[in-house]
Amino acid sequence: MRYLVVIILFVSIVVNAVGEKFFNQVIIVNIMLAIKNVELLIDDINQSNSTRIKMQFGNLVSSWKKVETTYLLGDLNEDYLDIPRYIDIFHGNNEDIKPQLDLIINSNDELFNAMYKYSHKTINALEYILFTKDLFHPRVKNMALIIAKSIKNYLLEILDGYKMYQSKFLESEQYASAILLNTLIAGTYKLKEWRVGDVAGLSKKFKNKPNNYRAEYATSGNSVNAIKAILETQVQVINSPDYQDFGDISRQFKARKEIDQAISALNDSIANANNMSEFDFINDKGKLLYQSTNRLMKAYYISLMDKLGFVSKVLDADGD
Amino acid sequence: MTIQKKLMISFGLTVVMIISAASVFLSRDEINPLLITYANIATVNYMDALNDAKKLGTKLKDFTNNPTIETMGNAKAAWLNARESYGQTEAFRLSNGPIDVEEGWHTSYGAPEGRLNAWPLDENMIDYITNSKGRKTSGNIIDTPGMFNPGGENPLLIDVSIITSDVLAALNGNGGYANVATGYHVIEFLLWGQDQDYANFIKDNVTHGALLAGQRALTDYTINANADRRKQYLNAAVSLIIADLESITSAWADGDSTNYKAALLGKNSDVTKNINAKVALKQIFSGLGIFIKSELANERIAIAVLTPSEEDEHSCFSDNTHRDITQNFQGFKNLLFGTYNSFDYGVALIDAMKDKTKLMGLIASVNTKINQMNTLAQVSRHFDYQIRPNDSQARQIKKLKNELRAIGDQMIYVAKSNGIDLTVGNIMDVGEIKL
Repeated sequence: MRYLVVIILFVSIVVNAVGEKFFNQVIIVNIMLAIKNVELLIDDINQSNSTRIKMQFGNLVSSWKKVETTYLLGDLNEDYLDIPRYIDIFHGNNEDIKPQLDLIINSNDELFNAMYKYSHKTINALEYILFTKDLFHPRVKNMALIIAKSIKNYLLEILDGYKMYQSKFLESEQYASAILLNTLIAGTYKLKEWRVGDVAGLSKKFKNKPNNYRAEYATSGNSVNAIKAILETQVQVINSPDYQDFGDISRQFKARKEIDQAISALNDSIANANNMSEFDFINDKGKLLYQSTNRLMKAYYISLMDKLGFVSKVLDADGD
Repeated sequence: MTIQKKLMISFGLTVVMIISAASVFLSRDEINPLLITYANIATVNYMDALNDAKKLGTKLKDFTNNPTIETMGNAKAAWLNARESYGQTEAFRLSNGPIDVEEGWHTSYGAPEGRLNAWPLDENMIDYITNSKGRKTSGNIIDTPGMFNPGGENPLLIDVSIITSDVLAALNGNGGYANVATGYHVIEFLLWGQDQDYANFIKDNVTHGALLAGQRALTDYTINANADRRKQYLNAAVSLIIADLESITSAWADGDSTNYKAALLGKNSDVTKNINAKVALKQIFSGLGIFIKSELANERIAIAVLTPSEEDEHSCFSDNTHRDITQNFQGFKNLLFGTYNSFDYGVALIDAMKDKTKLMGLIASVNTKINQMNTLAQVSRHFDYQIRPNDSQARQIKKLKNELRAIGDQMIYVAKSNGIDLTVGNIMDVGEIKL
C-alpha cells in the first residue's frame, strides 16, 4: 500500500508569532488541568469510588489529549522528546499490553519489578485496569495507583519543562510558529487517519474494515471524548478571542481565506463529533467526521502552510 | 527490520544557508573521487568481513569436531571478532547496493543482508529456551529430525533431517520475518544461548549478573541427544555466511569490469549497468542518513531503551550490543571521513562541507557517549543493564539516540555541500518502527 509522506521544509517565515498569553493560557493551563485531573483520579482510586473513578478517568483523557495536541516541548529540548510515549502508547507501540498486565496481576512478583516496562504505566494500561479489573483486589488497586502516579510524575515533568523552556519558545517567533503549525498538522493527520479513519474503515490501512473497537478508548468509551478535546484545543490555537492566536497571525499575513477554511473545517469537525456516540464511527456519522477532519488537515498543510511561506513537498512513499 | 509500514509526517527546520557545491561532477571519462573513496573502502571492509567469517568457520569446525570449554571459547571469540568488521560494513546498507538492493541487475548478488544479520529472531524456532512460564520449550529445528513447520503465515514444510545451508536458507523468513534461521545471530544463540528471563528481564533469573551473557552448557554439544544436530546447524549457518560474503566481496572486487564496483564507478564493460554519479551519490547519502537515523538510532537503540526491552538489543545472547553500536557508527564515520582502519582513502564526503561545526560537535558528543557505554559494558554492566529504567545510563543512551538522529538530519547538508539535494524524506525509512 502506499501512503503520502508529507515533507515540510520551513524555508523562511516572517510573521509575528503567537506569544506569551497563548503560552500561558493554552500550554500551561492545559498541563495544569491534566495534573489536577490525575490527582483527583488518584484520590478516587484511593477511596475505591468506582463511579467517580470512571468519570474522572474521562476528565483525565480529555485534559491529556489537550496537552498532547500542542505538545512541542520535545522541539524546545530533545530530552523531552519521548515523554508522551511514557504516558500514551496509542498507535505507537507494537505490544499487546493486556496479556502482559494480566500476567502481572496473576504473578507474585513485586510490582516495582513486574511493571518495569513504560507501557505498563500508560493511560492505556490504566484504562484496561480501571475498566476491566476488580479494584477491590489490592494488587489491582496498587497497580492503578502506580500507573496514575507515574502519569502524574511525567505531567509534572512536562510542566517543569515548559516553564524552563518558555523563553526559548518566545524568543524566536519563526521557530515558535513553525513548530506550532507542524504540531497541528501532525496531530490532525493522526486524528483523521488513526482516531477516525482506522476505526471507520476509511483509512488505507483498514479500508472497508470498520471496527468500533479499534477506537482509541474503546474499553472505557472515551474515544469521542478524546476527539472533542483534540478539536477544542485546536480552537484554542487558531480561533480564540482572548489572545493573539495562530488564526490572527494568518490574517495579518494575507492568509484570511486559508485560515477561514481551516476554522470552517474545524467547526464542522466539532459539530460532527458532538453529533456522535462511541458506536457511530462505523456509520455515516463517522464518515462525516473523517471528511471534515480530512478537510482540516488539507487546510493546514496545503493552503495555510504555503500561504505563510512554508514550502511543502508531497512524496509518494511506501507505507502500510 | 519491521514489515509494518507507517506513515510519518515530519518536518525539517532550515535556515537560509549559502553552501557552495563542490565540483564533484566531472567530465565523462573522469571517475568521481568521492565514489572511488567509497568503493575502495567497501572493497577492503567486505574483504575483512569475509576473512573474519572464514576464521569463524574454522573455529566452529574445531569446536564441533572437539567440543571443549576451550574450543567453545575460541569459537565465541571468533564470533565476536567477526562482528567487528561486519559491523562496519553495515553503513553500506540502504544505499541501493548489492548487500540489500531490491531491484535491478545487482540483485544477482543475492541481496543477502536478511540472511546475514536478521534480528530479532524467534530463537524458540531454532532450539530450546526457557519460556515466560519457566518451562523448557520443544518443537524446534534442532529437536525435529524430519519435516519441520516453522509456523507463521503460509509456512512451507521443510525437511530438516539433515541441517544444511540450503535447508536453513529455505527456512529463513519462511512463514514471516520473525522466522530467522540464518546469520550471525543464529550462531550467537547456538553458542551462548538464552541470556534473558522471558518473564521479566529485570529479574534476570536466567544468567544472574550484570556482566554475564548467555550461559549455554557445553553438554549441549557433547552428551545432549541433539548435540550432533547443533553441530550441523553451526557449520551450515557459517557456510552460508561465508558464501554470502563471498558474493558481496565479488561485487566490490578490484579488476573486474563486470561487477558492481565497476558500475558504480561508471566503468562497467556493459555500459547499461553503469550508475550515474549523481544518482549513486544521492543513494549513498540517503542510505547513510537512513542507516544512522532510522536503523541505528531508532530500530537498534530507541526501541531497546524506550520500551525497555532486552529482546530488542541487537546482540542479546552474547551481550555484545555495545560493540554493534560502536562498529555501526564507526562504519558511518569511515564513509563520512574517507578512512578505514586509520588509513586515508582519499576525498571524503565531508570535505566539501564549509561549516562542519554542528556535525563535528554531534560526532564528538556521540563518541563520548559510545566510549562511556563501552567502558561500562566491560567493567560494570552490559547494555541490557544500562537500559534499565532506573539506571543512570538509560538517559545517556536516550541522548545518544537523539544525537544520532540529529547526525542523520545533517546528511542533508553534507549532501548539499556535494551538490546533492536531499529532503527529510530521503533520510527516513518509512518502515521504521513508530515510537
